[in-house]
Formats: sequence, structure tokens, C-alpha cells
Amino acid sequence: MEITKMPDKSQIESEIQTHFQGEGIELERDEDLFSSGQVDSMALMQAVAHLEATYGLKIPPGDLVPENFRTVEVMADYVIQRR
Amino acid sequence: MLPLIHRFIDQAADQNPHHPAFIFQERSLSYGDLVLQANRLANVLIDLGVRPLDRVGIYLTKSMEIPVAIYGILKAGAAYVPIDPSAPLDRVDYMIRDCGITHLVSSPVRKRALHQLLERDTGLKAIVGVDRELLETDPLTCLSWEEVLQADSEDPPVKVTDQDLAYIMYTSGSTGHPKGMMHTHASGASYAHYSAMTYGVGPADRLGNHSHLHFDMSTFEFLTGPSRGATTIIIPNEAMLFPTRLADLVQNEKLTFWYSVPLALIQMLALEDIGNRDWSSLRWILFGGEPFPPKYLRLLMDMLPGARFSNVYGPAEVNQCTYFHVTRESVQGDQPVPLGRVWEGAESRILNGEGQPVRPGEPGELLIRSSTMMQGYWGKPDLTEKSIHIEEPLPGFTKRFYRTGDLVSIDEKGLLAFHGRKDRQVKIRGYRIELDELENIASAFDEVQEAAVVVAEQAGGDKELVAVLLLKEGRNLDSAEARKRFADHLSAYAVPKRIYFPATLPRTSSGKIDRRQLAQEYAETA
Repeated sequence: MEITKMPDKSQIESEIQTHFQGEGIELERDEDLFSSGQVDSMALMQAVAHLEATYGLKIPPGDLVPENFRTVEVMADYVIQRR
Repeated sequence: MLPLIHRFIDQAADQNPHHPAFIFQERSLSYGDLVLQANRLANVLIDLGVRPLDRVGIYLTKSMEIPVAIYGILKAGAAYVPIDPSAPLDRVDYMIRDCGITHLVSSPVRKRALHQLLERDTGLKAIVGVDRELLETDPLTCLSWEEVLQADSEDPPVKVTDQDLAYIMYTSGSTGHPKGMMHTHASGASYAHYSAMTYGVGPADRLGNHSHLHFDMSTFEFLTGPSRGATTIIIPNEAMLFPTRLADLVQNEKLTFWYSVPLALIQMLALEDIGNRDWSSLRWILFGGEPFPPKYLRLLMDMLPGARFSNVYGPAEVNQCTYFHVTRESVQGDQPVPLGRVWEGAESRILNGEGQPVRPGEPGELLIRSSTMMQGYWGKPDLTEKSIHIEEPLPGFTKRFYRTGDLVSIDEKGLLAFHGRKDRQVKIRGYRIELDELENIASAFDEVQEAAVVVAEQAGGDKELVAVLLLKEGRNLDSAEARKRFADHLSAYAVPKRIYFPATLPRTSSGKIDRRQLAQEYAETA
């Protein structure tokens, strides 16, 4: 999806949730992606590719750490900080 | 005689009760404590009505509860059934009904999925590991882990023999539904015995459990490790998902054994700072599931001059059947690493299309007879019969071989090489997938006239799943909606990466869909 205007944090969060829903994964905004076990490596890679394409980011390998992806909220913070 | 699987932990606890059996994050569980906790869970399950031969589901992600669940269920005389926590509900629901699971061992982190599951009529009667307040549904019984830990810790007196059902492992089935492989105490314990012997596993070893419980590779850490009193480090999901964390864990936990698909190792090798890690504790690297590209294997061997490397092969139906200890010479060029030699516990045949043994170098289907072999597919006697080849060398004395479906050849030295599949089973990133299952799922979509799923190369040279769907006249479907529908039935790794809706499909002269043509057409040329 093409984003022309900078969305706010809450919009980014719902957009990320919608992405995961499309992959059959339901997530609360503050839910830990890792402890529940419903996100596998394929789903995580797809989420990374999705964030890059949707928000025009290039996520460097050094940023691929749990601290940037633990929850939907954390991912939105990361997107805002990287833009 | 081989012991029952659950006696592994009793024996290890007798010898060294304080030795750590499992480690997860900051927690360590000794063999003595594992025995007590498994006994408690077994008594709880028996109180809840579990009887010998019952199937009890394990619906847990990587956590310390996994070994307690495995050994507790076995000590109750029942069989455990690992359920993929990342699988969609339809698939979970199918497995529960398919093998008649009434009792589930789970944890509060699975709360949402459990809620949704209970909205369906699955026949579940009890869930252990979840507080009553989390799931207020009568007449379901819930019991928290805290309550389990209060239960009686005596070893329950249950009659089990080595021919009894120990676990059922589900894998992709060509009909559109997964199929369950039934393993007995004898087949599981045999695998533990032969793998421990082949790789010299001992109490000082520290095994890294990379594979999830619902994949057969995990039997090395959950069965083989305890059979020799070794310590298993359960690798948390976080480290599974981020190669940099995984590389740290190998160093920090001082692993001596590593066993995974090649991809996990290749991803760690790609880390910029991999050279800074101290992996000198590793003494043996096992890999399997798919071929290891020799150029990466050479890199890894350069990095770990003191370690041994082995290719592991065997369909989950037989656990494992060949081994190959990699030498420098065997990875000189770009030739794939051989599957290796049939190990001591197994007998093999390689038969051509006419059922005759092949000559050296000639490819044929590999058949395996072994004490590590499954008893059959749950509830599918026809499928079991089709997969078994019977010889009668003496009157009334028969040998049962499993038809692997893998095409192999054997050289003069007795080494097997892989040539492909007889059917449409594929391996993507080490995951076993039946293309027919995906086509059957897509054919059931209302809008779809015909479906083809193929493996196509992507730009980087990796393989990926591509679905090509021919829609009924006047009907519409977009790729996001189609993906969603696949995801309702399949784990993420099996969902086609790209989906296309062409107006026509290429045909062979006999009118069948030309899948080879499709695979070429949809390959991404860099």
C-alpha cells in the first residue's frame, strides 16, 4: 500500500496488525510476538519486507534484533524513528 | 532390551539427580526435578481420565513445560501429539479431531488460540497448564501448572510395553489434510539408541534444541539427549528468529552439539561479526532436511577446525536411516554432500520401477526396514499399506520396508546419493510440503476452477512456492485474499509466496496442466 502522508503511530500500528491478519496471525498491539510462538521465521521475514515496502525503509541487518520487533507498538516506534 | 522412553529420565535421575536435564533461558531443570514434575503431571492426567493409548496434545511453544509434558504424558501411559503453535486454527482443529485428542497440555501464552478453539466443537474435555479463570467454559476442566506442581509425585503404576503408542507426529499429507505418523516406545527408543551411538552422546554433552517439537528433528534433543543423561538447551523463539541471538546462544550456552536444517547455520555464517563468536565448545554439527551447499559448509568447517560435521538423512516415518561424516575431500567441489551410509539399525533396498534391485550408480526408490520405523499412519490403513513393501524370505516370516519415495543411487563404497522424489513432496527451507495438499486446498476455493502449485526459483537462487490459479468464468479473487485462505489451513512456511491468476494454463499433450512449464514461466530471473 502506498503511503503519501506520514501516518501517526496509531495508524501504523493498525496497518501492521492488518498485515499480520492477512497472514492469519492475530496480535494485540502490546502482545509479545515471540513468547506466544505464533510468529515463525517466515512470517517475521515477511513482516520485515512489508515494513520496508510500505514505509520506504531499508532495515539494516544490525537492526534485525528482538528489541525492534517485540510487539506491534515497538515496530511502529521503530518505523517512526527510522523515517 | 530397550527401555520405555519415559524410563530414560528415571535412569538419568538415578545416576545423577542434580545434573541439568533441560535449560530454558534463566531456568534449569535437573533430572531429579524433571522426574518429579513428570510424575505429577502423569498423576494429574490419570485423575482427569487419561488412560493408556489415549492421545494427549502438546500445544506449547518453546518453553520448559515441553519436556515435562512429553515425559508426563508417557508416564500416564498415553501418547503425546505435538501441535504446531503457529498453525492456523483449522489445522489444529483437524489434528485434534483426527486422532481424538480430549486432553491438551498448554500454557497461558496460548490463551487467545485456546479461546477460539473452544468456540468450536473439538471434543476437548480438559486443558492442563491454563488457569480456570482464563478459560471460563463449562464443562471443560482447566488446571494450572501451579496446581500440577501440588499433585502426587509418585511414579504412577501404569502398564505400558515397548510396542505401545508413544507419539504421533503430523506432517503434510497429499489429500489436503496433514497425516499422523504413529511411533511406538520401541521406535522412539531405537532412534535414541542408534543416534546416541552414532554420535557418541554422553552426560557431558550440551545439545541445542533448535527444531520445534512438531518436527521430527527435535527427537534428537528430547529423546536421545535424556537417553544418555545429557543436557538440552531449549532455544527460545527469540533466538530462533534472529540469527545474531542464535550465534550468541551457541557461545554462551557452550553447546557441544548442534542439529538443524542448513539454513539456520547459513544465516549465522552471514553475520558480519560471526568471527567474534567463540564456538569452540561445539564438537559435532549435525544437519539435515535438505542439502547443505558445499561452499557454506566449507566456510563453517574453516571456522570450526576442531568440530565434526555430519549429514543426517531419514524421513520422519523412520526417524533416521543414514549418516555421513563429512570430510574435507567430500566437499571440495560443488557436488552435493552424500546422504551417506545406511546405519547399523537399518536394512535397505533400492528398487527400480519394476521392483528390481538397481545396479551401483543407477537411481531407484529407497526402501528402509528398521526398528526406528513408525507403525503406520493414524487412521489411514490404506495409506500405510501403500507405503509398506513386504518381503517373505522364509515361510511365514516377513520383513516390512517403508517406501521412502526418495530416489537414490548407491556407489561402490556403499554411499547413497539423492536424486529427487518419486512424488510431489518438496522441501522448502527444510520444511516438508506436499504440493498436492496445497492444490487440494486451492481447488476447494469457490472461485477456483483449477489449481497448480509449483516450486519456482526466486531471484537469489532460492526456491519458493508459487500458486497458479485458473478462476471460474466471471469470478474474481485477488492474491491477498487467496493468501489469507491458504493461511487459514497452513503454517506460514507452507503458504505460497506468489499467487497468479492467468487466463489459461499451459497443457501437456495429454491435457494435464504442464507444471514444469509453469515452474519455468514463474521463475524470477535475476
